[in-house]
Amino acid sequence: QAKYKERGSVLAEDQLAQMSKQLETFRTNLQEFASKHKHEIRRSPAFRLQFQDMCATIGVDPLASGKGFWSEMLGVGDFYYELGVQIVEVCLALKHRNGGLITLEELQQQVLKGRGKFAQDVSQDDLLRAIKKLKVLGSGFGIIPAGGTFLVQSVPAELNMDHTVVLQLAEKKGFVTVSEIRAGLGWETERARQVLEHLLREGLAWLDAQAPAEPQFWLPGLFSELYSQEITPEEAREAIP
Amino acid sequence: MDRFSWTTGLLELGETLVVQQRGVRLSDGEEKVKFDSGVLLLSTHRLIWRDQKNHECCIAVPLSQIVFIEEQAAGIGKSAKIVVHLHPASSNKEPGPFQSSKYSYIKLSFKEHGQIEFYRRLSEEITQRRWESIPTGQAMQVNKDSQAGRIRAVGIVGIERKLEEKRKETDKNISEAFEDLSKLMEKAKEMVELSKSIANKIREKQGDITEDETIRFKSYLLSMGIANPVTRETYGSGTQYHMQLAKQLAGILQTPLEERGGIMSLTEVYCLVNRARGLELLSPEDLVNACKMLESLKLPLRLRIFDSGVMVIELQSHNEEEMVAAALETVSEKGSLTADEFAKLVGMSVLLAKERLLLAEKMGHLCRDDSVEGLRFYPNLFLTQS
Repeated sequence: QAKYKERGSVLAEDQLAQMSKQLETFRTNLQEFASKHKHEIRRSPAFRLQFQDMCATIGVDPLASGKGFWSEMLGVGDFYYELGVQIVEVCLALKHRNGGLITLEELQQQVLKGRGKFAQDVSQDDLLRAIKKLKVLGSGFGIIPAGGTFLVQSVPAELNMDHTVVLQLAEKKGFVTVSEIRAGLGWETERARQVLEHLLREGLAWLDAQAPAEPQFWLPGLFSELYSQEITPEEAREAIP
Repeated sequence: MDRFSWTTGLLELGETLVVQQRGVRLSDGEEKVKFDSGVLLLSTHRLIWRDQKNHECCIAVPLSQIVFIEEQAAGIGKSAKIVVHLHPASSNKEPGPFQSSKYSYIKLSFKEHGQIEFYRRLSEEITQRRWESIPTGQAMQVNKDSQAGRIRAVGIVGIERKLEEKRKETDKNISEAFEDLSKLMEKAKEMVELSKSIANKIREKQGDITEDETIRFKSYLLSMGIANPVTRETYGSGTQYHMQLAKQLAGILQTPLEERGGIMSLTEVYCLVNRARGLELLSPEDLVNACKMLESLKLPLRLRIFDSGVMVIELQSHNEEEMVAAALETVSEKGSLTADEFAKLVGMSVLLAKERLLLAEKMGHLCRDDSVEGLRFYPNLFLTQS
């Protein structure tokens, strides 16, 4: 006791004991919060977003572990981890068509379809957070900002800044040409060709050599007409007002 | 519901579709009507509803008729709704399904979700009022008579007041949730500060803590989701939990691995394990941390990380280098193979097939031909025929 007073400062062990106590109190507080608002988190993407932002601000990752308090008591973990599984499955199913590149919109549509009518709403923010966690598994998940939205990469294709920038340029129309890259980015022909050839090799782009003016490089992951293949004729009729 | 008019559902020239949603039911105020299941379309000018079964049945109301909108959260057995308050119908409105209605508002029920996005877009359109600046092909029932509009608004002020009160109460529930959340976060923040202080003291050796206590500390961090201030890893690696998990995984994955030729990507493992669990799922980080301990715990599986960053779980008995020899034979038989072709032949995932071919290349057994037609592997004749 005297020795402790002499030191004049609190030791690590003492703080550890303090933390243990505070942890128990916090656990109780969280339990109370969960009993009142747990359903709000699962039901409301807006509330979820607020929750996530606040956690990030104070330096807490509620999704780090399924064993964490947040996950256990609020059920946030299960929501996002299950979403992760659904994202992997959707990307795998569509890979043969788009080479492993998909827009966030299409991913959201397909995931919602798979979840069924009575499942909770899933926002694009939810998807992005789930994907950020999936990256940890090392199988090539990545997020590429493009045209105000995002492209989701699900295969370990190496995409550097040049590739990314061309994808962003192609995002508007779903395809791009060498001339457009030269004009839009100010690059030399050779640099543009190299990037496009890389995208072809990786299976992310298809070449339309018979396009009228010059060859067009199409990116299946980017254009929406392609995913209409999966809807019924009825749905197709409804899509046109 | 008497503000709606029959329509063909075709957009006019100048009118643009903003968003649409299936599975929407319309209600006349609190009463159900026959418009049970339809597609709701929002354009720059109108709100259109078309029956999903009978496409001929299509009605619309101009956005200019909307006074204000509010959200109604979903409940047990009830879909989320948007309540749309409307001006009285103008006298020159086109005929519609109802001649009169005792309500000045309608409800949109989103049976297949989509209400959040729809609400957002509808709010935007009402704010931007694009229909005022973009003329359309057909004469629209635009509420241009602002003077009359103001007089009409005064007439429904009583209703508006009641709705305002109701909205305040809903708002109160939401704000209570947010308030509770803020208070909770304050407490969580204290925990973060405390953990930083402890980590500092450990670093500066202000008081020795035992190995036991270190493990305890890591588990506290894990519970709170706090990044380990010492190692900067966002998980308490090497905790009891991960050790137990590693042992569990060894049991669960034995058979699936044998069925898949002794090797699986970590993503496959993640999906397999979580699908089987159903509840209390593992986070990706939990899985990685547990797998990192497999080798040190002398379990019959191990984690392997390829040069490309791809992570796999292998049976200890699995020897990827031996598999490479078999792969070389397969490639030689066919002359050359791409990762896709090899995957199909052997019955592996393309991801792992590619890794095997890359490893074979690294070991000098295969050569690559990288063209716009894809990446193709050939037996390395330089090696065998020199």
